[in-house]
Amino acid sequence: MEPSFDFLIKDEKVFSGALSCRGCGWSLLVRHLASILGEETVYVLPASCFSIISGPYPLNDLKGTIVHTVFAAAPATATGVRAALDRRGREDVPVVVLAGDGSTFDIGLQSMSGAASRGENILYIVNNNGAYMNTGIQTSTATPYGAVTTTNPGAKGFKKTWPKDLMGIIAAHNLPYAATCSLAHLDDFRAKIEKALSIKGFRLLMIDGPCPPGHKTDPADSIQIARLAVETKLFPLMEIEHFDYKINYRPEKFVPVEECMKMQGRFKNVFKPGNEEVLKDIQAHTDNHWKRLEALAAMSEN
Amino acid sequence: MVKEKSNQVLIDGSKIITEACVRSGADAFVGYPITPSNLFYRYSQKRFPLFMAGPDEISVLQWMTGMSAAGKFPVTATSFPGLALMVESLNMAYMMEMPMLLVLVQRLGPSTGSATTGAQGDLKFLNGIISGGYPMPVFCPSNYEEAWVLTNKAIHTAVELRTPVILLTSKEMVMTQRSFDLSDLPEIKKVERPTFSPKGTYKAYLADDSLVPPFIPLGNDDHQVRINSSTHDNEGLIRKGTPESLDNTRRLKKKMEKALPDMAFYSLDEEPFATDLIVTYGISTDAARDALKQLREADYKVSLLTINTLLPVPGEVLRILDRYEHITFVEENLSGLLREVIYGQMPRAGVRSVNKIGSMIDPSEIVAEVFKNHQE
Repeated sequence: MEPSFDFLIKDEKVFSGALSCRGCGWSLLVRHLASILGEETVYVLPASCFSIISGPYPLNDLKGTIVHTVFAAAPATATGVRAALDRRGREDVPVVVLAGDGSTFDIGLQSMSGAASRGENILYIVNNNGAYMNTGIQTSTATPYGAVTTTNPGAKGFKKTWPKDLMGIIAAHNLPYAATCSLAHLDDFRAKIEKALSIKGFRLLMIDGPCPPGHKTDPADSIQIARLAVETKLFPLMEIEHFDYKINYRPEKFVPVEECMKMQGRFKNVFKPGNEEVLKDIQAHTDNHWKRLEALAAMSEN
Repeated sequence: MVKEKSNQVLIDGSKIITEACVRSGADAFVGYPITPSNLFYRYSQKRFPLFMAGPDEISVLQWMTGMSAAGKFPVTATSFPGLALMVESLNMAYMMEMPMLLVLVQRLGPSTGSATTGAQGDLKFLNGIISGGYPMPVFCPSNYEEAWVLTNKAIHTAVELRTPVILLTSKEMVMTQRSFDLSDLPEIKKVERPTFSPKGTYKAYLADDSLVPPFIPLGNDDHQVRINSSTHDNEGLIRKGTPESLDNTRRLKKKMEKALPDMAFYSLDEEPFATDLIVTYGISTDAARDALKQLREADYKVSLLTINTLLPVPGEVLRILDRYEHITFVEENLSGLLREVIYGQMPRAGVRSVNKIGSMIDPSEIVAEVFKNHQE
């Protein structure tokens, strides 16, 4: 993929004065997305932060056709919309699901998997901020190991299971296109949206979504943290086309995971004395994951 | 929490109900995030011996049924969209006769509606939620003391009748903080789940005169246990249309009817010689009390009935209603759901409603309606 370096928004499709929190990844994500997709796009939004960000008058901020649907079934709603548009001869109108990790990794996984296996002509975008942020920061199966949430709380508590490998799950569906994107790599992000739009079938983009209230971070650090997630390999930038993996960005030097984690209050308990092994485990898990990706990418080249 | 006198705190109903659950012997909580029941999820994590975070509401009710079958008493809290996903599993738990408590926090619907706006819109849905019209107990507190006591009653009822029970609340009851004296709360009794004696033959659905079959948890060393969501005989074996299996199904309704007089909770603030009655429940009760005060100050004779056992509707409640000429139902919904549950689509003369959606009912609206009702 040739990077475009053209990441300035020329045609703004998002109103100013949105309801999102300061430093919110979702809002930046959608600004770029909407500027590429145009106003004809049908957005299907399950219950999520963005349903609220884009919903309430007078702060509704997105120029586009929006279907606010239920938590468990946005890909199914989108399937119905797609089928009818196609029958009406409007294959040109993109149908885009904008979902969070709660509805994608948990309650809506079956719905998403069904739409993916049927090859529905839908672009599915998941903003992965690693918890149910809109309802009060509860753990989801996307929540990273070591994070504190309101359902993994306490002075010493944190989540002690690994997050689901969504990209692994989606790869198993043999899709024409799936990719991860970071708000710290906007050129790459925009190029991937454009690429996804040029392909027919079920496509999925997972974005690492900074969330200051949920991650307990300084809103000014959102992009820096997203960048560090890529540099530490906690959030690899990759593409999967059918069963072929491609790593889009290889950090030049080793940056330990703690560099990214220590900026986020949700990991504070991992840094407390006695948890040194936890940090080592997270580093090892991250390294192993990267090693597997490299192996898959190497296999794909051959 | 209950010993010290003048223990004034600023507290929400979620905390009161969570604490009442734990003190009543509920020992497991399963949650899934949904507004406005989130505070239960948060508090329960710290208070319940067993806490599990579900991946969706279908799983929540299924986990609870499994827990209940293995001897735990599970609790969850949700609002309408979550309840809607739970319905098949709730019917399963009802058919299997597995005790559990579901705290339903009403919010403005239909559908996603307004997640942070209270409402009293789910009663008719609950009235028919078990396929075939089988009754399931629904208790509704109208203040913190009742929330405390009714939670306890709900858990005891669930265990005694081997059934899921709903505690019906609303956003204002469980999310709004109020000043409250905790020393007003009485001691509550822990539930004990009776289990079948290990001797003798065990048939999972063979009930004695109580009409409630004896419980024995899965994973005991003495008996095989067969629980079943399909139509089954006394042993829990699937039987289609046999007299025994249909009797077993009828028993589900009969056991509720038999127990109903013991779970008929309401309070009647009766004015001698009054012909006017205000009927309310839950979050509309405070406004109704205010209206009652205003009416009485104006020398108007009116009584107030606050119903806590909303389903099945107790016979005593119906007999009280029969004594009054003018009845005004006060409910925060579109058309008067309790009134419709009791009178159907054709209320008798003198039965009216004060209804509202989107905000709480104002006492002045009740006063006006009671006057109007009386004059007609």
